[in-house]
Amino acid sequence: MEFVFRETLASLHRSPLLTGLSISMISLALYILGLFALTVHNFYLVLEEMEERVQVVAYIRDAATPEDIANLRQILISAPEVAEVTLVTKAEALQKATRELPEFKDIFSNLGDNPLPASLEIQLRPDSRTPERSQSVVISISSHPMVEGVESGQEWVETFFALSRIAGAASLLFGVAFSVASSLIIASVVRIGVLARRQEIEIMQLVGAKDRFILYPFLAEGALTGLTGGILGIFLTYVTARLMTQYVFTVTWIPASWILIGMISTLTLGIITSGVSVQRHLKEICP
Amino acid sequence: MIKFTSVTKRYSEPEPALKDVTFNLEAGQFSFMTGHSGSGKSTVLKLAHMAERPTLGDIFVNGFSSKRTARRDIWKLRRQVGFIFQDFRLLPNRTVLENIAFVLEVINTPSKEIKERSRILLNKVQLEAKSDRMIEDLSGGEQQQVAIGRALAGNPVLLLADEPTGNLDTESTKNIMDLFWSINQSGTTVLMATHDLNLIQDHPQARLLELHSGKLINDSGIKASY
Ligand SMILES: Nc1ncnc2c1ncn2[C@@H]1O[C@H](COP(=O)(O)OP(=O)(O)OP(=O)(O)O)[C@@H](O)[C@H]1O
Ligand SMILES: [Mg+2]
Repeated sequence: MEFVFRETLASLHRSPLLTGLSISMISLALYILGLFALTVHNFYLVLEEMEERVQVVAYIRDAATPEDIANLRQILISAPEVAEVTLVTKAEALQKATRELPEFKDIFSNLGDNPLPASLEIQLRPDSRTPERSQSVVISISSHPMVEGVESGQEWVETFFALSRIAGAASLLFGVAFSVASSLIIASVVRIGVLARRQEIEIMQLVGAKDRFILYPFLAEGALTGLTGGILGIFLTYVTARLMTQYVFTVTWIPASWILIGMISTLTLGIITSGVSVQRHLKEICP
Repeated sequence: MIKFTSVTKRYSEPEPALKDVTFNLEAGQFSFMTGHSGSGKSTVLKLAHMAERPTLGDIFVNGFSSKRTARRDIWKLRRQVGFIFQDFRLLPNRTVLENIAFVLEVINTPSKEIKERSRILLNKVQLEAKSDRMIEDLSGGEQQQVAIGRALAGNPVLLLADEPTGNLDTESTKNIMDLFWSINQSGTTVLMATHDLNLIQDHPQARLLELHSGKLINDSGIKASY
């Protein structure tokens, strides 16, 4: 154990250039992956926010009585697509308009009668925020006698839906590509490190070292380079996220679980590649 | 200690490097193996060290069979065998002391003893003064001496030496030969490949095996046993 530890440190120390290069390459691979993860994560946050805005608004005739409205509301709530229905009275509509469009404040206050209709804002269930389902809600109420008109934002829903599907496919595709590329980089770096010490492996074997004895320092080294490179890569990603937040726009940091997965994968990859290539050399040297 | 029975070794070329070689070295013997360049001396030693496996025939070395010893068990044989490589096989970016200590470490010597034992070994090959020099900064002869010291590190029962004096001057050669004789006296079997005829003549008591194009054409041990 003591030997493994000492050998590992000694070998890192003995070839600082190669070690430095390995760590930089691994951190670069993880940096690229980290930036990608950051992009995907933030994009999905925006998408989620947009998704919550998918709603249907039913404008109610001024003639409608409170019973009519309650009745309409009951119909909506019992529909499977609907999550929540909020009533916006005429007064609330005016208040909101005055607040949101201050430049028309005078016009609003000079109108004797409130021209804005009351409305029901219909929030759809997450799984019903598709073009077809929001359309079915629209159909179910547009024929109601007390409904003046329905605004479904159908175009918006369609755009959103297409967008999120493209985003899903793209992030899957790029995610796989980036992961494969990063894995290849990490694996090559580790293999080069082992190759550079082929002579050492051979000599150890010739003087009577057990395979395990040769293997362990390499495994430890693979783990250490993987870990250091990984931490450095994530640190670089973090710095980038902070700088973006400070100078460009707010970037939300990726979830800890993603980082954990990235680190564990890098570590595992480092150890496995190291082990496999040492084993391959051992078999090649001595049949 | 070493028993070759009808051993043929073929590398990539169609012409085998060893053809039907048979000999038996008793434990405690001191033997020279001679022959022209390319006659197969190193091949015999590598086969005895199980760095190569025979194409045909059987080899027994200190009870280990070339047919039945699995790759993962070869270390057991190697810890009992010292090998001096024709090309040294030292770790170039480490010091003389580190190269010796490395083997002691590999064979699980307690760390307290490593320093002292390395010092004794370096003393035997007259390299104590250079123990902290890097291998790459040593002359060929000095590197050979380190290789010899390393081969003796594990107190081997068998010493396989491939041209161990090829780079040494007369005086160092004499010192090394004396060293080999003394470890032979203490029980270690020695098989040494050389094409230095003077050396062979100076040690008539040793057994002599002669190879020619992969064939064993002369074995003084056989005559003696008749
Ligand atoms: N790994 C190898 N692959 C292919 N051919 C080899 C290999 N090792 C040795 N040979 C061939 O086998 C033959 C015997 O080689 P070997 O090294 O045993 O000779 P040697 O007697 O030790 O020669 P020298 O005195 O020059 O050291 C040579 O013809 C050589 O070219
Ligand atoms: Mg040779």
